[in-house]
Amino acid sequence: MSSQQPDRLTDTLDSREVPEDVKGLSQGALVRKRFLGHTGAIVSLVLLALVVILAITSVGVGFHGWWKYNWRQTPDIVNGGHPTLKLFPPSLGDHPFGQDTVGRDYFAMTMRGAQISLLVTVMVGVISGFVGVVIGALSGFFRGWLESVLMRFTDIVIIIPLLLLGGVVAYNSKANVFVLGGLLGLTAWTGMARLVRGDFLSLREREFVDAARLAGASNGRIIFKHILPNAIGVITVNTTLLMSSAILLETSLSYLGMGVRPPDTSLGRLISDNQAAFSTRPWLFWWPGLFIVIICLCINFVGDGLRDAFDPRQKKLVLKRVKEPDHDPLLEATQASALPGMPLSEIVAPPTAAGGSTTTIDLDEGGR
Amino acid sequence: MTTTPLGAPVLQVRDLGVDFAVNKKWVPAAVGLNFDVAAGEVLAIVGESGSGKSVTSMAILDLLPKNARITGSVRLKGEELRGASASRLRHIRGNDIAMIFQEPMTALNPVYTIGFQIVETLRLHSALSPDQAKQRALELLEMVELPDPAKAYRSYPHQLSGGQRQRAMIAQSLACDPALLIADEPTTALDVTVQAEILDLMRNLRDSLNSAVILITHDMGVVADLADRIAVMRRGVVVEMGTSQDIFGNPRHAYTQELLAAVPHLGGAEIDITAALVQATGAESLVHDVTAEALKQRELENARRAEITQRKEREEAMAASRETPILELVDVAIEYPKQGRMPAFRAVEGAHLVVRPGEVVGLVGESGSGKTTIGRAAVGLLPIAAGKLTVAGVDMSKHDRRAMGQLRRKVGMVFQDPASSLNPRLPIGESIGEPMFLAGVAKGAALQRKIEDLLDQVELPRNYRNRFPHELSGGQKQRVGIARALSLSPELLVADEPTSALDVSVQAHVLDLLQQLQAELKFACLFVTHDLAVVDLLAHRIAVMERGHIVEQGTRDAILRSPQEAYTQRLIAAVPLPNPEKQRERRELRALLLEEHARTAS
Repeated sequence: MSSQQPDRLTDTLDSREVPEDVKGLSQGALVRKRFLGHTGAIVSLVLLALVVILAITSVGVGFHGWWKYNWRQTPDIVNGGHPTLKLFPPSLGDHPFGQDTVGRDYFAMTMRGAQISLLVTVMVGVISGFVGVVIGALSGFFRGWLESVLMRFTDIVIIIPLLLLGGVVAYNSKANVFVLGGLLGLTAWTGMARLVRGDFLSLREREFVDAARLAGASNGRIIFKHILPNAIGVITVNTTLLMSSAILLETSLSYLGMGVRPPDTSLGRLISDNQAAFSTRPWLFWWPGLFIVIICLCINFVGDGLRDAFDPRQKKLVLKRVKEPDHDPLLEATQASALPGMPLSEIVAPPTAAGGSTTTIDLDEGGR
Repeated sequence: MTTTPLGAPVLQVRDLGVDFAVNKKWVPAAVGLNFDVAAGEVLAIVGESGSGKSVTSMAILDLLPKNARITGSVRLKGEELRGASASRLRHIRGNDIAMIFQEPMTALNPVYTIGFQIVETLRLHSALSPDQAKQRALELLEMVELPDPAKAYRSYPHQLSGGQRQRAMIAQSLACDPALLIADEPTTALDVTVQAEILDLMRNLRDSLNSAVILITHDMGVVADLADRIAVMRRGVVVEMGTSQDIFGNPRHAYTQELLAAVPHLGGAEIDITAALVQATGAESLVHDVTAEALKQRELENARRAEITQRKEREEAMAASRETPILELVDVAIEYPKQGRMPAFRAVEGAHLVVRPGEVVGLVGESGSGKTTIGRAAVGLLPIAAGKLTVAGVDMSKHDRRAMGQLRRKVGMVFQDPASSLNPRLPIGESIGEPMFLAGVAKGAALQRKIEDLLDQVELPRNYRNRFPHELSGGQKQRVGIARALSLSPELLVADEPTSALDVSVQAHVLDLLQQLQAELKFACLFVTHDLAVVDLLAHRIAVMERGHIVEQGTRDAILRSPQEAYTQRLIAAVPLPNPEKQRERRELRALLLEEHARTAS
């Protein structure tokens, strides 16, 4: 358009040409970039990955890991079972985390416990995430009787006392970590369903859904192509929160003796087995506790980073690092040439009525 | 009106600059601003979105976000505000400087009554007993001309109409007799008729209070007869500043001239709206700039032409009745189904409307009149409750799947809010291509070519295909919306207030584009709007809606030259004119119309 009427001054935002070769960043790329800039989340992600790798490779899953013991062997008790880990000079020793009362290597047990706890976490995340999203999306999009039925069903699931149910199932079935993970996953989705439904309720009223409907899009296409990508922020964030709460839930079930059964073990189980030893052999308490804290905190930090990345208004800013513009602003502004910046309305847009979690008041990405 | 009161200015702004930190760089938003505002004076700051006008007002109040840097000096009654303590600023805000926001629904707290919120402001800033505060609040509500102050005092924001809410907002901001009142786009979210009322109110208040007023707007028409002085801002710089007379009578900067030209001029050059209105009201005495005889002459001329157009209309109607219309509504009623305890609401009743091929019909009315409802029903987004609706040969009276499928290729719709009508997660090329992809018109490379053609048609660069909506300005987004609506070469295009979310200058460009495309592609168009001036350029015929009924319809000339219904006359009179003198006449005519209306109603 600017080619037709080159000296038009109004509608400057329209005529402000952008360099040809600059390709727009997709929403996903924006989120990725913002997430990578969140130091806490990245550190947590790396730490979490290290814990997973350590837990899997040290004692192995089905194969033999690089650690000399596994969680079932009972070697002789050395040095009263005290941890042999030394920080200075750094050395692991024979039993870095010590030994329990019967002499099992506590490092192997803790690693096995971390494996089980992580497995439960992932199962809960996947199952409850899936069920919650499906139920929330269906009830939020179709409304009517389907919504009533699904939401009342959700209400019923909410009132199930999880500890009691866990106890009943654990006593009546052969103890199996998959049963436990599945059970937790099938009861923990209620909050997710509510949140997704809420997001769908507001998104389905947006005009782009009408536009898609007018273009002849089927309900499935509208849900998966148009609405779900816009609700992805809520879903990802809530899933991470669910996962970290699943670790605690598994811990409390195991602590009450309803979760994982010996000889297998989990972090919660380790703590409950050794609660009496707290005054005499405190390391039996500290090591699994430390790993619970690390895993939960890491997942929570990652969730935090994701939430910030999906919400462009949350922007931390270090004013000291901001540089002066290279050109004279007054001269620049009075000339008709393009400003280095973005439309002002996007920098300081007033809160508009229709703003989902994906509104793009973006402090980071506007300038090109 | 132009005499500027003498005395020390209430507000003195010197070398005010605002920068924003973007991508670790300072980007200027306002540069080197200098202005004074005296008591009783109205300074209008006019510019497009992004010109830095709101930023300026926020900088005065020190309400900018953390990534902003303010330089320069702001003095209120001689006191320097830059660098003042937070508690001092808090005291000044609301007490010495008050602000009227754009959107009264979001600026008022929905869970408290209007009365509570005004009393809160009063008691925060002065030592009043609850009874005294209530008394004062009622006085304020009466001052802003709310019809029933006692009732408004007890009401919650959602119980008031948009105009009433804005009045309540104004009452709240006036609570502490502010020395400076900042009105940030006070009428942009309102209908044209309500806008005229709020402007009247602000004018009356300016006369009765002695506050300095800063009025911020993108619409030159709004400030015509309210502002004493006008500052035109572009990209953070004041390009022109002068008295209202100077700016309107003799605009020097090209940008000012363009802004003035962008204000839609109802009736164009050839239709004499004033004469038409004078004829309708019989109030010759109100028009000052011409002699009574000349006015009589103009009225007669207007009447004669109206006669001609009416005759022509009848002939055309005879000829056109043989042609099959694209859109035909016969006695149509549209309902919103009951929800919970809310009974079903009949938004449209007994509507007759015909749109013929290649014709643009403007559907005009205030918010809540049912005009958008008709637009949505015409594209099959809403079922009709009674009557007969035929769209492009498809009978839509029964809202079934097959009819919808047939209809989709024949209709397109441009939505009101470009920010909401594009999926934020889809590149705009995909948004434009979706209807074609789903209809199976084209795939792969052929689809890409069609998308490029459409982008060319709406005058957007082709490489915008890969951009996301948040990277585009409002006007660009609306062009994308138009491209999408036209992608299947529809026979009927429904445009639902496509420009109401845009600046006046952008609106002018988008309307230009629509007009060009319509002339080129010859589609029929139902153009829904609340502003008569917007459809004036495009529409061949105009239908006026009031409370779910179509009260008047006819050719554009007939409607504008001899509006029969009082409601239509009021709509016409409410359109602002970018000319202080003419606008005053228009306002007085409008007041007369309203008076008459009140008399017949009672």
